[in-house]
Parts: sequence; C-alpha cells; structure tokens
Amino acid sequence: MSEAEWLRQRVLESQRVTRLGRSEDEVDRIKRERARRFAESRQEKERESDLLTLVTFKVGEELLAVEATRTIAIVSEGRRFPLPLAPPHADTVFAFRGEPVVVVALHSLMGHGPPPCSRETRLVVVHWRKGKVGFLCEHVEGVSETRPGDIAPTDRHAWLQPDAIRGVLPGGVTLLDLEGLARQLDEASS
Amino acid sequence: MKEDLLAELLRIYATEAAELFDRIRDALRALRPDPANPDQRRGLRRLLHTAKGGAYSAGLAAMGDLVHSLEESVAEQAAVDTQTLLALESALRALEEGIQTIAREGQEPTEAMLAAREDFLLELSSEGPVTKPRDESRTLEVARPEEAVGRINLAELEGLATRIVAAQSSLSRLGQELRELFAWSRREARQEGGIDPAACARIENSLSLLNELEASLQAASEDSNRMRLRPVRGLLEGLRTSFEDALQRTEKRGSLRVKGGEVLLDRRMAERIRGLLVHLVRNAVDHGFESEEERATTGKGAPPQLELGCVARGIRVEFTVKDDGRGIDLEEVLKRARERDLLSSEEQVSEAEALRLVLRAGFSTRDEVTLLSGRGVGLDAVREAVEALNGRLEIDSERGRGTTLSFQVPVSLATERMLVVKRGEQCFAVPLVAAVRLFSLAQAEIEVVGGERTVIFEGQRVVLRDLGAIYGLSCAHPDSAALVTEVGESQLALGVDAVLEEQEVAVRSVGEPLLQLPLVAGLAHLRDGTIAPVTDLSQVHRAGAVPLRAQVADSLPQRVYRILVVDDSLTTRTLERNVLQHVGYEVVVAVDGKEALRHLARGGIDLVITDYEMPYVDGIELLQTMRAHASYMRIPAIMVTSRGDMKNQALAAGAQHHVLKRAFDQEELLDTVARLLASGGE
Repeated sequence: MSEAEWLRQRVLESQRVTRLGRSEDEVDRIKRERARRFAESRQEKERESDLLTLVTFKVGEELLAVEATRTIAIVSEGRRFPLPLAPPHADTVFAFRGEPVVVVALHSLMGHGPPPCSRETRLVVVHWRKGKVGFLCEHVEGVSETRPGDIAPTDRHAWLQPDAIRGVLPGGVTLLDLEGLARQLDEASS
Repeated sequence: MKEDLLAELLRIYATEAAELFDRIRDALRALRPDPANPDQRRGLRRLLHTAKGGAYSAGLAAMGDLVHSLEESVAEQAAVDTQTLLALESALRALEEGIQTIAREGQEPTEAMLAAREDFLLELSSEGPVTKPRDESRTLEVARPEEAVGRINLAELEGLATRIVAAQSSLSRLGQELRELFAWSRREARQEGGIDPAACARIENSLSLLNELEASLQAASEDSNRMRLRPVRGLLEGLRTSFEDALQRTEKRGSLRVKGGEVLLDRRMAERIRGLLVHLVRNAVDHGFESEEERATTGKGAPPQLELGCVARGIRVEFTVKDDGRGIDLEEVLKRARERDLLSSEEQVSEAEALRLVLRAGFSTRDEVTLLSGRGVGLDAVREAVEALNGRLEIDSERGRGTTLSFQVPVSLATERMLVVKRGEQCFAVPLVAAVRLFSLAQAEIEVVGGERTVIFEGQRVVLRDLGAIYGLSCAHPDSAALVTEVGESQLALGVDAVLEEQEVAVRSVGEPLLQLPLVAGLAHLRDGTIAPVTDLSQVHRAGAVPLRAQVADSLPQRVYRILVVDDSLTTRTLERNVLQHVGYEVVVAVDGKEALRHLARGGIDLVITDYEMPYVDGIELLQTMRAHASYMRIPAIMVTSRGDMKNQALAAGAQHHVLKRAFDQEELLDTVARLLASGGE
C-alpha cells in the first residue's frame, strides 16, 4: 500500500467513525473541536520555540530592550572610574567580576549627560562583540516575552541609526540590534 | 619586486596552495593507519616541499618557514608518530587560514604564521626531541618532558590572574576594615562597661583567618603567573630556520649558538618579540656576515657565528643578538647621516651616538634593498617596537669584530609593576620600568624654553609636561612633583600631584568599545579596587620628548615633524616616503584609510598625505573623518591622486592641497609640506 493510499484510508475511516450514530450537528461540533485543538497545538508550539525573552530598561525618556540571551547580569551602579580622552558615551569603567568593563551611557547620543545616580540606577551587562559592556540606565523595567511577529520594523529613530534597531515592540519599546549599535558607537568614537 | 607582479604571484599561490593543502590533508589521513609507510611519507614530504617552494617564490617567508618545519619533521622521523600527526594537522589548519587571509587581504599574515610555527615546534618538543641538530656547532636544546608546556588557554589564564587580583583587592579592603574594627574593639574593651573582650578575641581570630586567606591567594597569584611563563627555548628554536634560510638566500656560511633557553617569559610577550628577533637574525646574516673570501682576507678562518642570548634581569628579560662579522662602518654611517641631513657637516658625535644613528627612521647604509632584510623594514622599526614595550634597543659594534644588538622587555605583559600616580582626581598607572626618578617641583629649577616647561635632571634639560593636561583633565591646582620617565632615547618629566605606591597589577586591554583610546595602554585593577588607565609612555613621549643628549646650555632641538603617508600602492608609498625622509621628516605609512585612522589615534602625526582610491576607507572618507574629529581636525592634509577631477572634492573634504600623481614634482610637494607645517594647516 502506498503512503497516499494509507492516508486516504485513514481519513475515510475517521469520517466513518465520526459519523457512527451521530447527527450532522454532532459531527460538525466534533470537527470544530478537532480544528480548534489542532490550531491550539500549533500556537503552543510557536510560543515555545519562537518567543523572545527581553530585558527592558529606561534610558532618558525611552524604553529600550535587549535580548535576554545577550544579557549577562543586571547590577546596581557601584564605583565607576573615569577614562580620560574617551568618547562621552563610554568615558567610565567599572569592575564586573574582577574585570574592567566599559560603561555605555547612551544618554550622550541623545545629547544628555548621564543620569543622576539613584537607588534604581542599574547597569545592564551584555555580551558585546568579543567582550562585555554595561548599559547605564535609569531603571530596569523588567523581563518580558514577545513573539517575533509583534516586532514592528522601523527605520526611523531620533538618535539611533536604522541598523542599531531591530524594531519597535508594542508599548513603544525599541529593541536594540547590538551589532548595529556597536557600529554606530564606533562611528561616534572616531 | 614590482607590486603588481607580487600581487599576481600571491593570487597564483593562493589557488595552488588550496589544492596542495587538500592533498596534504589526504596524505596525513592515509598515514594514520600506517605511520611508517615509506611511500606515504615520501609523498607527504614531496607535497610539503612543493608548498614550501611556492610560498618562498611568492615572497611568503613566514608561511614558507612554517611549511619548511613541517617538511623537516616528516623527513627526520622513521615513522610519523601520533603526536607529530596531530601537530601537522593543527599546523595545516593554520596554513589554510593563512591562505584565506592572503586571498582576502592580499598579504601574508606574518604574525599568525610565526605563531603557528612556534606552536608546531612546541608541540613536537613536548614529547621529547624530534628534530636533532645537524651539526655539533648548534647548541639548541629541546624541552625536557618535565618542562614541557602543553596547549594552555591563555585567555582563561589571564582571566584567572585578573580575578585573583580582584579578590586580593577586595580582601585587602576587607582586611583594612577588620583591622580598624579590631583597634576600635580593643579600645572599647578597655573601657568601663565597654564591649565584651570575647568579641574582641573573635575579631582577632577573623583577622588571622583573613591573613591566611591573603597568603593563599598570594600563592595562587604566583602560581597563575608562573603558568603563563614558559622557557624561551621554543622561541629560540624557531629562529634556527630563519637563520638557515637567511644563510641559504645570501649564499653564506655560518653557525648559530643559543644561550639562555631556560629563561622564562610570558607567552604573549614571546609572540610580540618573535618578529623582532627574526628581523635581527636576518639582518645580522644579511649585513653582518662576511663572505668566505672576505673572511679569509681579514684573517678570520672559521665561518661567522651568530649568538642568541637570553638573560633574566629581575622583572625584565634581556635578549642579545651578537655576530662576529664585519661590524658597522662608522665613517660610512656618518657620511650617510650627513647626506640625509640627520647630522650637520660641522656636528661632531661620539662613537655611541654615531651608532645610534643606525636606529633612526629611514637610515640605511646599503644602497640596494635586499630581498632578505629590506622591504622597508629597518632597525628603526625594531627600535619602535621595542620602545612600544617600554624597552630600549641598544647597539654596540666594532669594525671588523662584529655587532651586538640587545633589548630588554618585561617578563610579563599580563601583570606588571606599576607606579600609581595621582593628578587631580584621576589615578594613573605608570610602568615602573620606564620610571627613572621622582622629585618635588618645589625645589626644582623650572625654566620655560621654547614655550615648554623644562627641569634639569642629571645635567640635562628635560621637558616637563603636566600629566593632567596630557590627558585633557582640568585640575584645580598645579602639579607638585615630577616623575622622569625614559622610553628609548627620550626622557620626559610628567607633572603629577604624588606617587601613591608601587604595585604589581594585572593589566587588561581597554577592549570594546574603546579599541582606540589614545595614550592608554590598558587598564590596571589596583589593590584598593580602583581601575586606573595605564599610561602609554611610548605615545606620550612621541608627543613631547627630548633626545637624551640635549645639554643644559642647548636650547631645545628643532622638532622633527611626523608625516603620515597613506597609499595602497607600494610604489607611491615608497616614493613619497623616500622624498620626505631625505629631507629629515619622520614618516609613518599606512596602506589604507582604516590603518591611517589607527595611526592618527595613536597621536603624534603632524601632516597627512593621502591617496584617494583605497580599500576599506578611501581618501575622502579619511579626510571627512579627520575634519569631524576634535583631535585631528587641525592636522593639515594633502591629497595625491591620479585623477585631476578630484581636486574640488578633495578640497571640499578638508584637504589643503591637491597633487596630481602624473604631474608629481617632489620640490612642489616638499614646499607645500613645509608651508602647511609652518602655518599649522592654514
């Protein structure tokens, strides 16, 4: 028996069993229920495999997000040390697990100074090319999940270049493209 | 060799080698089940020999040397053992990557090839002697099994060292707190109704536990430092092939003697200096070794000998390359220096000063550039590289008796002894090896000469620069102490507030996203938890150094301008460099705009001469980037192109002058350069 023949027989058998002693309405209800469950399992699978976990944080008046897989830690702002002659977006460094890590203050790209230190000020430490950097932020909003389909592409932003943005999430959160952002900071440094 | 011919040869070899390396891989696979099979071994050797010959023909010296070592390892064994097979496969991967780099970038990845070769030799020697000396005059030894160093993940080791330093720093702060608490508790315990003496004893116990922990951590730190070190034997072993290759190419005879293979050196430092030693070895054979006839005429019977020496000197290691060849002709040196205006016709110099002229940029006593040690890289490049490691290249020579070149480098790049200095609110780490003396400015005689503050140190006038001003800091009060630093031939006094202490610190690279942070050699994690920038003294000096021989009575010497020539054509670069060096300018070259920006970031460039069409970053982009950058916007620039229609675009992008290649007039170029330098680009 060919595979197609086997499948056809399975469908006919299913239809026969479904109709056994049932009214048209009952058969219709069973079919609808099967369709619903089938669709639900597809959605479930999509949720499990494609959901992105994001860390959202506030820089100036903006909410930015990075993928949680790129995030190493979120730490309170401790002692920061100045780096003379460094560009303003990266002019301090802090010790993270015994290693000096450059603090990136995206505020300077907006033309602002760094935020005043408060109890909520945090550094979001992320993998950055071959090393690490800590994004200075006013506070961390939280960790959330989103479907890739919910990320709306955009090529407009007041201070981020198009390739530094992966898109905009519901609620106006800008999802960063760290490779693109690295290139933008390279240009800002040179 | 013409550039286009060389490029064509590289393209041809890249294609040829890709096929050869596939066949070599197949041959290695075939050898695995039957490592003693003479036919398989012969086939493999033939393939390696072909690959080597092709590499040398294409001018790929380092790649040729690597393949040569592979070929030798196969030739000298009756059966290719598993260790060698693994080493050969690993080296083959490096070769394949090398070919990809050549295909992509059009030039040999020399450092990668040299490193792969040393790794290969090290892997072989870790199982015992594989290559035996061919004659008795060679005294190179191979690593004994107990000394063997396997493949160690250097990055992980350095990470470990840094974490230990961080833990030591935290522990040191905790110890300080605990000692203060203990002192307070003892005072309190003595008072009526004070704290329980038992609590005082518990704090004391904690303090002794802390002391034990500090001692353990110190031992761990020393262990991790030792793990990064390895005997220089592998490094010196690798130089033998370069030596033999140099003999073969110059058709000379000679022997090599090596001393001090047991001296320990940081693996990363070994990688940094390997290229320097290869150059010095080739230079000695090419320029120092006499022909048999010449040697017979001068009564020297035996063939010339080269001696490579290594001696541990405290926190530094000294390398010596000594030949018993013809020595340096000082009269010829002086004649050439006067021809090139490096020395005026009336100026008299000592023998030592005359010898140091050989290390000046662009100096050469040979009219022709040899294939072996020429190609635009001279002793000045070696001197610069040594100075970048805060070292000093020394030269000694006697006519007819030979020449000795020596230099010292720190044992380790990962940790180094530093002086922690303070200026304003900023701490800096200054490499101890370059610090000569500290003195208070209150008692010093400060004189302004040529607009610069100067102080007298050991009978010489030394420029004094405020460290805060160098790093763009605004300090509320003037500097109060001077730290005299020495790099190569120059001395510079750095104005600081105080030297806080001396520490052994782990130095980490600044890393992303600040790869080009000017004047900073790395970041030092100090014991109190502070992270301080490490001053890049070679860059700082380049911006304001004074030759050692400037005497008290002299006014400051006229500044030598440093010009950056950017062109992807070897011919154009060579032409412009020669023209500029001939009249006394110091010239730095870059093959494209991207490399030029790296040079600019290091500082000390007074004028830029750039081509238009170049890979990665073209001349217009380079000019636009310069004009948009606060540090480079005032550096004058000239664009030299083969396109007449580029003039307006060049001027609009920020060039002060445009020169057409086909109408190239060196006098006009020199006049323009002089005018722009004098007017500061106006």
